[in-house]
Amino acid sequence: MKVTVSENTPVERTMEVTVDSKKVDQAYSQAFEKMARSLNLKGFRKGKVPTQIARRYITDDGLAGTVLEGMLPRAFREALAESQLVPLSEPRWEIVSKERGHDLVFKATFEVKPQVDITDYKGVVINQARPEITDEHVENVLQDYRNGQARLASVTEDRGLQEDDIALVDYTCLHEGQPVAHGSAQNYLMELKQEAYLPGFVDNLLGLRAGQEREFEADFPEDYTNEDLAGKHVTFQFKLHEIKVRQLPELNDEFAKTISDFETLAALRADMLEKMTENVKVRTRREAGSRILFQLAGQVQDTQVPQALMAYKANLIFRTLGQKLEREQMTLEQYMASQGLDKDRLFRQISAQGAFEARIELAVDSVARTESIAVPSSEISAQIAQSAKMHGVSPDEMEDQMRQDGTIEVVRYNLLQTRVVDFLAEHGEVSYITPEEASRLAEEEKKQAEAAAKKAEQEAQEARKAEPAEEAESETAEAAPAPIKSKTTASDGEEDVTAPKKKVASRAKEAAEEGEAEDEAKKPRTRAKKKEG
Amino acid sequence: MSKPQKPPSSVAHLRRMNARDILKRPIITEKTMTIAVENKYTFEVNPQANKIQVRRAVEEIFGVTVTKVTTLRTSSKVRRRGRTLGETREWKKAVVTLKEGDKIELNGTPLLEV
Repeated sequence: MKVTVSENTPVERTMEVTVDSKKVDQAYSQAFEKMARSLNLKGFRKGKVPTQIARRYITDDGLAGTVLEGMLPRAFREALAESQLVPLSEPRWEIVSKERGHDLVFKATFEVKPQVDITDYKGVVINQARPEITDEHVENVLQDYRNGQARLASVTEDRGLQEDDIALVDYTCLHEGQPVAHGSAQNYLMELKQEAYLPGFVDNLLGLRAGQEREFEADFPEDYTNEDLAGKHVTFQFKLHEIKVRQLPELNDEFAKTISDFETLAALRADMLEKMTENVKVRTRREAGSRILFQLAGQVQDTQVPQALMAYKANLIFRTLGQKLEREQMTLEQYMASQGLDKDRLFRQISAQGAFEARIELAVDSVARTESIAVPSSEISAQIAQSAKMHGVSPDEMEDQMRQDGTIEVVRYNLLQTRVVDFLAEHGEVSYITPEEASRLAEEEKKQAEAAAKKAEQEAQEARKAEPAEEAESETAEAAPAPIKSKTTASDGEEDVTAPKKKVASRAKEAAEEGEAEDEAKKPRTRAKKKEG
Repeated sequence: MSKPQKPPSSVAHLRRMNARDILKRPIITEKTMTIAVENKYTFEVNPQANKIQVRRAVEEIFGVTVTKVTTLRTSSKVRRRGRTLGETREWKKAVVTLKEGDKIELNGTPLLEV
């Protein structure tokens, strides 16, 4: 076998492979025998046709397809092994000669991952905000714990309903005198938080005493999520049974004991402060590493990014999105509607992200190669075992499946990227700045990334007739999509459509405000310990 | 206006039968391939032809010497298709043994290669 490789572009190779005629003949005879065995001819049982007769029916031309099918992939594999190339795309084939008695000559053109050389990845200075963890943060988390442990207590004194009370009510919602579907409930607990309901709704109930009834009218806004009610003028009839309040456990050593292994509240506080600080540190480092990586991705030349890699990454992103939507039980159409995207824009957004991810991968590869960073197979197996456990199958089965659908490569790459990010963070310099400055910088960076993404996008669109880019709609790769609103309605709508409430998510909301640092700390302590180790 | 011609008497017709009217086609099946090893060739022949005529026809067409001819008739069989009854044709086969060393070729390729 003879293999010659020519380099068309930095990312494209054409491989010309010549296979010896002897092997070709052998393949032809084998194919003939196989064909003859299945030849169905009148007067003969299947497979009993003598060779001489079979030869009249099976021509070499007819065999060529089978021969190629058998020989091409094998020859191609061998040639790849010989030339040490890894194609990213399905090759374009060109068969030069395939006749019996001649050498088999074919050309395969495909894209490869270029070896990008990224320099200056050490000592990159990154401005990075590190939120200081203060006692206040700890206090907030403790407060969350208390809320979590809160109990409802009935109010015995005779007073009217106040804001933030929890009311046990019966209610009915009437539209033009008729009850609305799902519009009533008995013994319904509602927390009187202004932000949880339509503006002004809660005010209607304030001052109501236990046992009293009240009727009032309300308007649903035109854009209310339940279309049956949007824009309707309705009457609510409320009956208050009982006023309850949230009773929080006392913040003392006793409380510390119930929620942790610590004996005293002070010890718990100290431990939390330490853990949260550590968490933030680790996260900031990692973030800084990622930012360095993003910078490095900019060093990758446009011509060095294979189309196939971009498409592959875009595919992955799309797949992940699909899985996410499946978990949230949304269709793609609903998602697009909630994001204000049409098919075309979604496609462009994902392609742009794919292009960016492709650059990142090339940068990661480059650093990993020069620094000989590799992922030990034990780590991959550990990952596999973990997801196998999650899916309830054996690790071997999981591995087989992952190998088949290519997920294993994704797993390996993700681990590699983490390692590279850690490496970069370790060898880069992080200069800490204030959060305000950081957010300003992040804004700038985002703009840059957008510009880069747009550029990549245009590239991707080159073949198609690229429309002039509209206003910057492409998000940077790391930006999380906006929360999906319609999901709330989907789950709430069933039991209670009329109470014009938004999702009561006080805890989640607070958490979001405090940042994820506390979020980490909120997780069970065992988890936090594991992270340290 | 000429009168419709009277068909020739069977005997007279036979005498005039052409060699190529006698031999209709070679029969190539697993069975005939097996006996081909013994230099025996099988043909479908005109049911009216007798062994002598078959022998002459084979010798004339292929230029070989025939040592033996056996014939057999495959009788017609009743076949039904839906409501209509019909029957398959009756036909005749002849197994021709050639002199050792003789061979039958068609267009340069052996008719039955063993």
